[in-house]
Amino acid sequence: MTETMTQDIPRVEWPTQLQELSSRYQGWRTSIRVMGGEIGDQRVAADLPLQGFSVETQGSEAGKILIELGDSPNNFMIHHVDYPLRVQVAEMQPGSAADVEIESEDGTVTLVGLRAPTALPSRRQVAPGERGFRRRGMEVLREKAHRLGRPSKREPNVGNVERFASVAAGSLLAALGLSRRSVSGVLTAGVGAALIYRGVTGYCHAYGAMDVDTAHRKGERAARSPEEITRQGIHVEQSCLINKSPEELYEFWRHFENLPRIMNHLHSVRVLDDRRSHWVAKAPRIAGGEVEWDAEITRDEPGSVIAWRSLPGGQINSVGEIRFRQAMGDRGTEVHVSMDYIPPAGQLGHWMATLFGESPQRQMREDLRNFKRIMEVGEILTIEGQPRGTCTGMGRERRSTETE
Amino acid sequence: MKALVWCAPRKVAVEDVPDPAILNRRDAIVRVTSTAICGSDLHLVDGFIPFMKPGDIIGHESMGIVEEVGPDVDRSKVNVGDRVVVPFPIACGNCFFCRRGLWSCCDNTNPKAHMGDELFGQATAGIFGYSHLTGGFAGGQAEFVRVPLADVNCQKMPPDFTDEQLLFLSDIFPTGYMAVEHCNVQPDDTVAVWGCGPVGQFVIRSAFLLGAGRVIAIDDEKKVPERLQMARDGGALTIDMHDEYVYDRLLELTCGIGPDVCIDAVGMEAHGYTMLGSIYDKVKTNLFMETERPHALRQAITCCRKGGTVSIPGVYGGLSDKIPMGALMNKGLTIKTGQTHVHKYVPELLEHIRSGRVDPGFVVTHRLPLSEAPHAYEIFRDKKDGCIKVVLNPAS
Repeated sequence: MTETMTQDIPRVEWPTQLQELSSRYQGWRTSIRVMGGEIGDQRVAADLPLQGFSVETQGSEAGKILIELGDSPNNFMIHHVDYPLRVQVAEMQPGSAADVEIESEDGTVTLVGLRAPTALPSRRQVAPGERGFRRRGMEVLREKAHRLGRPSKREPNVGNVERFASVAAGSLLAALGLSRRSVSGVLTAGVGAALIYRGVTGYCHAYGAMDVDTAHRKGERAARSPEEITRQGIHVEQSCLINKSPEELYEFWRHFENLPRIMNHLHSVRVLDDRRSHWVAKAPRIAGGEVEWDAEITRDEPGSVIAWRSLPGGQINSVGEIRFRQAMGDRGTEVHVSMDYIPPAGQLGHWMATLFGESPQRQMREDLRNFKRIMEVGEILTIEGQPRGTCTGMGRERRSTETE
Repeated sequence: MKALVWCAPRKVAVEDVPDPAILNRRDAIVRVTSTAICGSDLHLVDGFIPFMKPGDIIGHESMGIVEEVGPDVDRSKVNVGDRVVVPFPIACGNCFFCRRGLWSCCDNTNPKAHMGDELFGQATAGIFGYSHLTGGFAGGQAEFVRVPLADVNCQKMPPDFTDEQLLFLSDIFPTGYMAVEHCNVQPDDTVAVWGCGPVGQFVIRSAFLLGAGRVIAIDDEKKVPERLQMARDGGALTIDMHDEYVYDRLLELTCGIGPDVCIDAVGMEAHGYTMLGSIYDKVKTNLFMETERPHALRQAITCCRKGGTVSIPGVYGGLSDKIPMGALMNKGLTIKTGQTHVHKYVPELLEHIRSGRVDPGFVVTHRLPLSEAPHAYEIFRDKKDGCIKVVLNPAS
């Protein structure tokens, strides 16, 4: 296990340290979020390769920190951080993930997440001094050409359970689509046909393009590294405003055994020790109806942050964090959750779930809403069990209490 | 118990259903002594509000006696035996919105908030008996009603008034009042109100309570003479939209500048005569290409004086076409609207009733037992028999 190292960089060392940081993390996948601004939290960039950090030393912009991202003229940006006050670097998984947090005088915090570059053979490390997209433009094109021309003989990249499910779901959609004589029917049938093809051949074009492989695993239920999870998994992010202090909200959440009260899909959480806990959740039937895993806390700052990741041996691979932050005025606390996970039953499980309205984004939004309801009201209002009519004599007989 | 059940558009029935039970720890069960049919219930019955399910119990204007309270109810605020009025929106009293007096925008009381998110961008509060878009809560046109977060949502009433004097604090009196209060009415202002239904009547009374110089009420003298008479009884001048060109009359009465405040107390099912627009809307709503007929709203925007305020207590639920944005923008109008923040107005309005400045019972034309509710809906909907407001008694 690795420990998180957080380092506060003194202002005099910004130019040298940031330059050093730049050469170490050049080409890494970088996301930038600005929190606490007037228009709320903003995601400024997601998953762009890092070119480098620098401190402006001259002119009217002096003192700003610049972050350059991108690898082509169409895909390039410079983010300015005005009036920086404090720079912190946290290396959570040396060699795979790091966070840079820059606090500004206006109270905003710029969070730069650095994740190890994907292991594609095409991605080339850029030598120091070669910085700047102009020189890289042609290389990027060449890489793309190379990727398009990959060997035409396709190895299956879809697992067996999924292949079976693909054929089943595909047949269903095709039948459904053909029975509807409309444009949408034809489209549905088309999707069905594609799923059948995918199931029969075991090759998924989408997986190919995304570099996902559910057929080959290094051992059943192999644990994924955090960067693998963030690269291949589903990314979910939600936030809400709750009229309680960050400390009260942190307290509720830190007692993980509380979470099944607000998360409908969780059966139970058992705390094993100071850092580890055991989780049992409902899952799509295709994945066996239930999944279990152990998780450990990777960052724990009372009243502010809890981060966690799943441990090897479980059925879920995930990393996530929740942040609590005093909102402006008397608005209470801003709560941000972000998670990356590889769902049971692979990408297909995710798509099927989304198709039937159980998208992870919506799920997390509901979970946060329940968190807010419990904290602000003390209970989650329900209509389950209230009386309703049967409309006897006006069509089908119906139940006389609410059941949803 | 007996309850009024929605089964399909234009089909409601009184049925025997199970009694309500405490489902959340802050619930109360109220024995309903009086409950009214609201104009907005007609939108449900006419099928203008989506997300109704066959079997839903409707009704959102109720009062009664608390029969039972859940274990976590703050008994210093409400207790068994209390006489209470139940505001139509369900509020928590503690979220961002409730703390700012925006009770009908409460963040925590709609169990089906995801539907509201999808339709409106952000979900609004739960409402009794008003479709699953507002939570699917069983309504109050029944012998008993379950009131969630009872210590916030049951408004305790004094014993020395009749039900009819207090009942309308649940919705239409605050609704009319808020529509006028939003407009910062001045003593030399002319207030024009479209629609002389129950909300329109309370707009007229509230406008005078809040110091308006003059009120002009618009409706159809041929179809609903009794409503225009009631408006005149309340001190308003009236315009008969059947025979008079509303715009011309309003400009004449205001020396060519238009009314300072225009209030649409009609909502999504307006009937118009003079404009091509009314035919356009009829065709479009029948083809499900538009969910409402905003005829009154269009006219209000067109008639309003430059820099004036258009206030909309009338209910809209979806999408409207051909809103005269050019007039709205170029004349610099202010739009005020919203489901009523009933909780905020109850103490103030109770004071007006206590002082005798207004007796809300004036609006009641029909008193019927709950068992006759389907008939009541029919006469109210078709404006037969001089029907303006129906109060149902579940006990008789």
